[in-house]
Amino acid sequence: MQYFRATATALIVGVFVGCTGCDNTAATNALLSGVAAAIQNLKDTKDLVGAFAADLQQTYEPGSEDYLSSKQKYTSTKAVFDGYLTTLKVAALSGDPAPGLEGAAADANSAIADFIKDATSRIDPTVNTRRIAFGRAVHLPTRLPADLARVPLNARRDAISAAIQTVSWPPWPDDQR
Amino acid sequence: MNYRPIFLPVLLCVSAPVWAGADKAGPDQVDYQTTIAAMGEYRSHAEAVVLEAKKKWRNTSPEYNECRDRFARAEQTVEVFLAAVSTSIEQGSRNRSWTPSADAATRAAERLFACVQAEGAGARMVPIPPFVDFAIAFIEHFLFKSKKQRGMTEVVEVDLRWKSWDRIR
Repeated sequence: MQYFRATATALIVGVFVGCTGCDNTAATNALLSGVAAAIQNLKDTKDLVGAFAADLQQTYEPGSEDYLSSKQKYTSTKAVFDGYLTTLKVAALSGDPAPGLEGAAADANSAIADFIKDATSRIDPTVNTRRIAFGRAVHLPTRLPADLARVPLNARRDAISAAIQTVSWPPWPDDQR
Repeated sequence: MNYRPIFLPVLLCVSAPVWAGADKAGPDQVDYQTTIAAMGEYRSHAEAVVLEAKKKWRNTSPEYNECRDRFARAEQTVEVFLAAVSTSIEQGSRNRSWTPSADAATRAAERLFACVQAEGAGARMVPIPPFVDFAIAFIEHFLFKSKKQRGMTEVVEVDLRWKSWDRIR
């Protein structure tokens, strides 16, 4: 009997401690800042690719072969990146670091590297040295914080939705209205 | 009666599969995520095609209308496929319409992307993976279903639906 009482007490204490942990704002903030760090990386990537796109668009005559080929490369890269963002959202909402995120990030990293390689071969490298150097270092996050599931779902949804709005790439410069 | 000798071993035996399965993601989950990423790409390409068509043709021209028709057809087939994906995630079992609707969506998307392929909005056609049997552990499926599948379902039903032709600008 004493054994069962001790077990029951331990269970109640365990549940109480566990629930207190669920509501731990500091832990939530720490985890969300982990997500924010990942997002900052995506924001930098967006700025970099956008700057390259603007240069390419100004370098060529609209309708020329080079112009169309640069635009096509940008559009395809953007689509792969959008695929990555969808996977990122799944990871954030399910609270699972998501093994699929690694594959999507690898695809997007490789597409972005191709885009940057192509762009740097077209734009005068002497005026873009810093950007090119930064471009070589682009690596999209492959994991979100492992304990993300501890953050309430609504907070995760708000954070990831706002983040995706911030880091999504716009259409090719000429197509923006 | 003294239950003590058997209580802990039984508790451990019952809970072990739950904890063992809690963090595992089977190949099926990777497969779903590949599909979701592919559909995210399709959506992005479709928007690029619409932007290009709107810029290139007057809205009364036959080319514009042809492209718009192809968009409507592709949008419909993608909706059907996404419904099959969503049902499969919810049920955790093979949905019969997965493969045929994936094929139909791919063909319709190909036709849509071909509208303006030469105009700089060409798409990389991503193969939609065929459905692989749902291999999630039995206990995990029942106990962790909502947690693991909620995110995928929400994205499939909300984020992957295409914007209408008129709303793309």
